[in-house]
Amino acid sequence: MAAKQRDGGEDAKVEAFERLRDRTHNQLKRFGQPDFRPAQSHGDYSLHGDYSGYPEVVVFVSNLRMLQPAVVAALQELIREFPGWQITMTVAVRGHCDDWPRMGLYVRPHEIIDGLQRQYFPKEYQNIEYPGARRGTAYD
Amino acid sequence: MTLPRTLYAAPPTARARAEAVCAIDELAARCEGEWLSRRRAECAAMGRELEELRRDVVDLRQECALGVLAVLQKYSPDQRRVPKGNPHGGEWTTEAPVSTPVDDGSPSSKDDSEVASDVTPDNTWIPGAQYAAGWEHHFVPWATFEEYSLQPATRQVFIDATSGPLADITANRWSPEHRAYNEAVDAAFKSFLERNNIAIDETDQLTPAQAEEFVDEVFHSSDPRIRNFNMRIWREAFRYWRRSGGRGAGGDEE
Repeated sequence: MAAKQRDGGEDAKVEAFERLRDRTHNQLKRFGQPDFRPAQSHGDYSLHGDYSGYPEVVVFVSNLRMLQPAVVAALQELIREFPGWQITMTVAVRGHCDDWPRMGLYVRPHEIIDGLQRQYFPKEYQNIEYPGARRGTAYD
Repeated sequence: MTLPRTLYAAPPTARARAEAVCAIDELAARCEGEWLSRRRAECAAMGRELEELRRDVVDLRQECALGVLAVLQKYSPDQRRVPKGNPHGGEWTTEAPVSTPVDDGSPSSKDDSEVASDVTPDNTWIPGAQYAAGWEHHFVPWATFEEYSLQPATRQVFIDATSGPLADITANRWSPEHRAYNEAVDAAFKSFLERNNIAIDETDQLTPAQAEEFVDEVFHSSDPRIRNFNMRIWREAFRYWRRSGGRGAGGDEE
């Protein structure tokens, strides 16, 4: 496990990461199916299980349905219990991993950074808005 | 009386047949062209990775030479080193120490000047790169085995199968790359189960030994999504090892 070569402080961070990852997974299951289930490969999202050293949990969104404001609001509610952490939602739609630019959201306890490029989305997802969100900058 | 009509797959006239043959040839050439350009892109990516590895080795040789020189010139414990927490932590320096801004670790509490140093014009800024020394890559990603029913010992094999500490390989800003790796490993896992006659709803039969066999398979996979990613991992593991002075204890020791 990642924690085995770390000091106490790092252990605590790894533990927080695993807790947040599992709770994010549980929260997302309310809205969609995870990828890589035994019986079938394709779901709506997957979670990155490795702690990168940065205080975040990364969600790969393979179905744009998972970007609905209700889902993001539920994740923001969750992240408020983890000050200093963020949930990074990375758009990774099958068939568009190469021809769409990198885009996503940072969901933080006090803000949502919106880096979506809606012009690539099907019409029904082009008007998604998140209350209080702001566009991302290079400083985010 | 109506004679029965027979339909043939082949066109009835020689000219039509020739046209069909030409069309087939053209399609085959196009497929081959696509395959070749994909292979070329893969080879180019591998070439770039190898070139970076080569540069790492050259750097390492230079560092070794400098190390020998330092010993010959007599080691001075008072000589300044780059402080802990810096990506070059532990390395010799002639520069005066610079005060570091207070950072509570929160994603939004970064000092602007600190973040700006990572900004590149092509939008490949890596958030958190300043934290990233020392994380590990799981060869069998959590997402791909989490939903399976596995024996605890089997699960542990997957949890323990890591690269060891890496220098710096945080997921790029909103990069879907690791997802492609996960997808490829998931496909490989399903194929492994099938080959071992383990039904998808009986994965608790998967033994730890078989899990190790699968890890080995991922390790040596020729699937470009797995192989290319793992090559990057090896490069970062090597860089970490190099940064730690070959002791593997970390890149920022004092």
